[in-house]
Amino acid sequence: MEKINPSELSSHVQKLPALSSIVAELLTTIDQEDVDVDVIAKKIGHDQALTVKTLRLANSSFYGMQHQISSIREAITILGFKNVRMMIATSAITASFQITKIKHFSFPSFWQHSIGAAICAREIAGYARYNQEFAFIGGLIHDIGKLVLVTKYPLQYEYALEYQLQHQCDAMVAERETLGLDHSEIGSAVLQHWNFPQEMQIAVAELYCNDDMPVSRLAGIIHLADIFSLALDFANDDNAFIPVISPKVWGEIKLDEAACKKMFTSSVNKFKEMSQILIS
Amino acid sequence: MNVTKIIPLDSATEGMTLAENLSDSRGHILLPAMARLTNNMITSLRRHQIAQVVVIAEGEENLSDEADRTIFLEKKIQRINRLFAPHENHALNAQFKSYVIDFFSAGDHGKN
Repeated sequence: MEKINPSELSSHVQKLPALSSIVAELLTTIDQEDVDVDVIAKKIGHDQALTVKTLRLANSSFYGMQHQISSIREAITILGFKNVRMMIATSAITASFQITKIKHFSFPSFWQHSIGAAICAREIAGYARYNQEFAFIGGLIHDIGKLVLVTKYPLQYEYALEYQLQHQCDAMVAERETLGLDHSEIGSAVLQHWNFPQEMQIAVAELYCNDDMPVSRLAGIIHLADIFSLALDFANDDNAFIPVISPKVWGEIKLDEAACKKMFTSSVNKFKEMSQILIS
Repeated sequence: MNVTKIIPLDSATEGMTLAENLSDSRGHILLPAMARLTNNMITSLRRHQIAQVVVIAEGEENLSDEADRTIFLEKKIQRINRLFAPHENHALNAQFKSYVIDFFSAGDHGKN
């Protein structure tokens, strides 16, 4: 099987559609608490697809509202601004990749793992006193490079997944062996293309924590969140195998048994609600 | 205790049991909780643009019974063993795996 040509890959990434202005703007507000909801509501109102999605969710039985919600402003109040922001970011990212069917890869499983990692990242960030919303987004998009592989290189990626299943190894190992590069490098390039914060680009590039190199705090949190999400088996994916846990990151965050179990419980409880919000 | 899971509609099959009421985008109940899915129902849900359903996890029903609970746990531990297999000799991975097994064994997961 032919390996991936880096310059061709770069051209694929550059051709990904730009994120809409509302998504780009929402991303700049990730760490802000005092966002003007009226301004955001007005901007959502200019985008028909986002309007429909936001209202549909606010009116879903999940929130049990007794009357029909017809304004974005009211929908944001019900759903919470942070949830709306996550939903918009996720739907924008989903819309950028055309669903391609290949063996051993399922889009729902992909998102279930990503949402699981996002929730776990928020829990771990809370414990490590790091920005929780930032960590949540980082967890959500940490595997985005896989979406480029599945949509632009379906045959090669199917081969990589087959290799991973046969050898029961980490995704990174299988991808490097068969494709010559891995999804964290690609993911970082995608985030750069979309002007995500630089800290997030670096964290995704450093995802495969190597104890010989410096790893940012966010990369460490996402590394552990990925492992938590795999261990709690949110995606129930046959190709899921847990990579080596970095002792350096584990030590820096000072995780222990009690903290882990508390975060497991909290993450499992939040997973259902968040799945409803993000993949509705 | 019923263990529930969210699955995409494409993965739903005849005979699965809904864990909760299933509503459309306007909040109208399409199917009640505990309805057993048929192929006709699945086709109809697709027409209503339902993307995912919450079902009672197969083989994990009626876990109030101790024997069933043991079977569920055995399957879970098998699954955890598979997930951790590539690096189970690493001390930290082995330690973390024991936390995960303890967590599921304690049975306090899946509360909603």
